[in-house]
Amino acid sequence: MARTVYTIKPLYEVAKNYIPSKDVFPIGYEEFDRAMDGGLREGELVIVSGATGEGKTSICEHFTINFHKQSIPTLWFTYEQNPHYLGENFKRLGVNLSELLVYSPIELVESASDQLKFIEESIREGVEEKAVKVIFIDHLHYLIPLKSSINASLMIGGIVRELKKMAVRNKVIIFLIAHTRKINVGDELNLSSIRDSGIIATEGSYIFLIERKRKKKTPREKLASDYISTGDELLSQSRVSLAKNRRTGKILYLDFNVKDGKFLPITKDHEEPKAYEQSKIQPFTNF
Amino acid sequence: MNNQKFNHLQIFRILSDDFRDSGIPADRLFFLNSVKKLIGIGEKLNSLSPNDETQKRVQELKDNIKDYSLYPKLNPSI
Repeated sequence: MARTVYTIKPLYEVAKNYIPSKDVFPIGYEEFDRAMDGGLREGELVIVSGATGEGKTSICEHFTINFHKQSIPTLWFTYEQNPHYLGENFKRLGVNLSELLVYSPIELVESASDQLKFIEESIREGVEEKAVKVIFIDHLHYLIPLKSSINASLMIGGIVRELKKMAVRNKVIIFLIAHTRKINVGDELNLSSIRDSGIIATEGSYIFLIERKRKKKTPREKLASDYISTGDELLSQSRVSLAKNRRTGKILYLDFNVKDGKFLPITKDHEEPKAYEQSKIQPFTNF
Repeated sequence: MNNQKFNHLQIFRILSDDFRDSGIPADRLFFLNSVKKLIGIGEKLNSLSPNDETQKRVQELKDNIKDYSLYPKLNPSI
């Protein structure tokens, strides 16, 4: 019996339905944008990771303001701090909150098991009504049901993969903030530092790692301060590394002075941004 | 509504004045969706009762949104 409904077509016809948008969305830092061939594109998942208090949310707030300056609306799922404090942060960075092209769900759902459905519905509303293009989720571990019997790494992998598919389906860019596992004093941050790292690193189109710079203590200083702290002294500088770059493979870092939550790029005349030290990066073959 | 009543110009002018060149993407999206709806109405009318004038007006609307961008500050890289 002859088929009346066909579900396949010649590739050249199918391919016409998947022509990617020409729009490129710069994150606002020239060196990073250049490394990403101009900026981000629809359907990409960007992972931002670092230890607690190192500035993951802050750097995402800076990305947000840079998007706003280009009239690109963003949608924030702010689980870690309530929207009031997020708003205060933006004000401190010098923007007029009432003019800022940033949206937020009126209320976040409590049930972790419904989070992904809720996120996608909110994204759809943002896209269809407000032309939202970039999403920030702060942070990944709020999406994990605590009482689940499934292996945690598998579950996190499933969530991250679903977020990636969500970005593709809705033609948006998703920034996902993820913690690192506990880092020992003196350890360098790398892709394997991301908590439950395997599939998170695999699914991300780009991975940014944030790290506060530290002044190494001399053995004498350590001895003198051991009864208080064994750690190195935190400096008011942060290093933001583009540690995975699926588009061009180019990886690099930029250093910032950090004051009152503001990230001010340290630019030195005639100096090219340094390539991120290869030895610090785990071999990664999913390019 | 018949073809003679499909005078898109008045609605289009209101949309253009208030939304077309707005710096807020949500307003631009409203403009785009509204024009697409107008095009849909025109095409539906034309299919029910083909008319050169309606066809011409629909084409004008299509031309108006041909290269319209929600994010005018972006420069396509490709």
